Amino acid sequence: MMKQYQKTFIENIKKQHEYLEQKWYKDFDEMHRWLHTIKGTGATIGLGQAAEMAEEAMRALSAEAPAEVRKTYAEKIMNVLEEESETEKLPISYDAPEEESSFVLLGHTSLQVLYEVKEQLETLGHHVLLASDRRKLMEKIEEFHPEMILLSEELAVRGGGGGRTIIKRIKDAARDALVPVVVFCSGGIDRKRADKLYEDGASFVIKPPYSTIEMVQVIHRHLEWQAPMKEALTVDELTGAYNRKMLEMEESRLWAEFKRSGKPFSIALTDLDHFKQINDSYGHEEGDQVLRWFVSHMFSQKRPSDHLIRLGGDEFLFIFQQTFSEETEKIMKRLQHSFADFVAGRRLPYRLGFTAGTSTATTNHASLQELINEADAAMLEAKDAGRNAVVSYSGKTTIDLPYINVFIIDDDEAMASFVAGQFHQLNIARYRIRTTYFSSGEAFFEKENYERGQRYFVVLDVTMPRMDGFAVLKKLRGKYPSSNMIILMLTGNRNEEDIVHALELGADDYLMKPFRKEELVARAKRLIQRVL
Amino acid sequence: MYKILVADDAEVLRMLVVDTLEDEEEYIIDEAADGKEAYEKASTASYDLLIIDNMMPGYNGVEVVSMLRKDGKLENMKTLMITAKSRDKDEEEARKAGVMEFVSKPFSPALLITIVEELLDA
Repeated sequence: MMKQYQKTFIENIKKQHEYLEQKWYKDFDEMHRWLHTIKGTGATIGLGQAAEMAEEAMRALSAEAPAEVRKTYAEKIMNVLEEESETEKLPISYDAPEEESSFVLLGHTSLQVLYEVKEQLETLGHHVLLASDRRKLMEKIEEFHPEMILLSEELAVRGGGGGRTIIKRIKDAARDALVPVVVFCSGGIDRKRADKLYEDGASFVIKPPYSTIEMVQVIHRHLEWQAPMKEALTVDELTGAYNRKMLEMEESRLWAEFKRSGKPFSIALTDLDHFKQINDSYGHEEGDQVLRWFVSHMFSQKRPSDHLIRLGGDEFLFIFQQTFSEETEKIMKRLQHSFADFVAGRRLPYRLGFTAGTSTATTNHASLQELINEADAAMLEAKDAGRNAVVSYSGKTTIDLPYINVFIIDDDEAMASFVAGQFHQLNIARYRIRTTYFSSGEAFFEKENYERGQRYFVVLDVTMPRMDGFAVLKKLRGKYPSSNMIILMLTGNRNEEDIVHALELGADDYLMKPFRKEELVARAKRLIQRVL
Repeated sequence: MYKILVADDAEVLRMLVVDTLEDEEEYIIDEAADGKEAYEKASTASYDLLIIDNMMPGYNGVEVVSMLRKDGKLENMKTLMITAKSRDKDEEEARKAGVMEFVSKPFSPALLITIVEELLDA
């Protein structure tokens, strides 16, 4: 795969090089753009050496550099490119963060301050969202349910020092009393102002002078502590599955997610067949062991976003987010088979299996309890049918999987085909992917590509001739609703202003070139799961 | 204290908006149940902010705002429109008529207050 990108890329670079040669390297802007492309794309597709040389050339060359010198650099780069593409090279290995990583929301009127914090937190495996004003902050809290919220004093307090704080409102919007709200203050905070923040519900007030390391560590440690606390509260001691408490905490989130995404969640209620007899004949210890086997086996099989809850005794509840009825039934049947295999391998003196009833949320349902009642009815039906079966409540929903339309707007064709390739391999449950490539903003807006009710993921390059990425971004956000369109910006350099500008104009996230394909994949997956 | 006029023909939604704002104790709220009433009230009294639903019988929100603009009423009054989710084209038209901000249904009280504050503090 990578070879193909390299080939296309080198062909394009060659063509552009010929053009430079023809012009005797006179046009410095042209040359600069050429180097920029090699630097940005090259490292991403495994041509790191050429990228480094291009970077060096960009540093060394200026508009005053004589054409001879420019020529020497260009030819050196061309030679390296040819060589590099011929040697087999494995892409750098990279551990993509866990899908269930923590989300942190950072709110600050000047995003520059938080830029480094974001970078460092991401290397620690947390995903960071940024918001530059109160409205974006509230929208993102409601949309993403972050595990932690940090904001500057300017955002937390209205009308400067001494005004009313919005911390209580933030906590309401987060709908989770456990979410810590950390406020960091700008210069000269006095005791009174800090106390007011604490009184209004701030978990921490960080006072200057603080360093990037301090901020990163405060956040990271807190998330580390929070995880086991949350777990202690919501996990069933015997089996390690969640308990009912978790259900209470999760319910509103499930419905909100359903309303927002339009995709239902499903549940499955199970109980173990003949559990009472096992308990009676072999003792409670054996019974407990069976429960632990069941849970540990399900943990090894389930998807990260599926939840398993022990309701009591041998009764368990599965929650499948964004999953339709038919798929739920399939999943449960698969779990039944794999559990049967597991049991067979243990040569137990008794039979062990489970019966399941499933139900799927609709807009007519008002509570999780209603769904549980339906699943319960279905489970009874399954038991009557002879146990070890799965029955779904009510009519089945057969809906074609919806598309995510990926638009790649980039003047660099090799980069675009690399990005498209990653999206094609992206395995996102419940969606199909289709990509369309546009070589410029103008080409994109030439005709109407947007259709109501569809979902979009736009990958947008910042640096393009004529209409640049910002202009395209602005037009996209002005023209279309942002709730079903993710925009990921590709920026060419560590230019903080570009990033701030992109986020202010409404980009959801950014990736800095060069990036590794795993970074793109992880980023795209998380955005899709959280936004669409 | 800021004076706000809330115009929405859907009683429940109007109540939600009014209750949300009254919780903040820094606003004086007036209500209008349709476009006509909204126009009349906004013409005779002075408000700092008009929160108006677009879909209303009589005059719709955009019509009310354009009439108020013609009367020179928007010079001292800010405008926030409540819209249905699908809004792309309507929003452009409404902006031209003089609407400054939008909030789309369904919205949370927390978000509404945040937008109101931002408009009034600006």
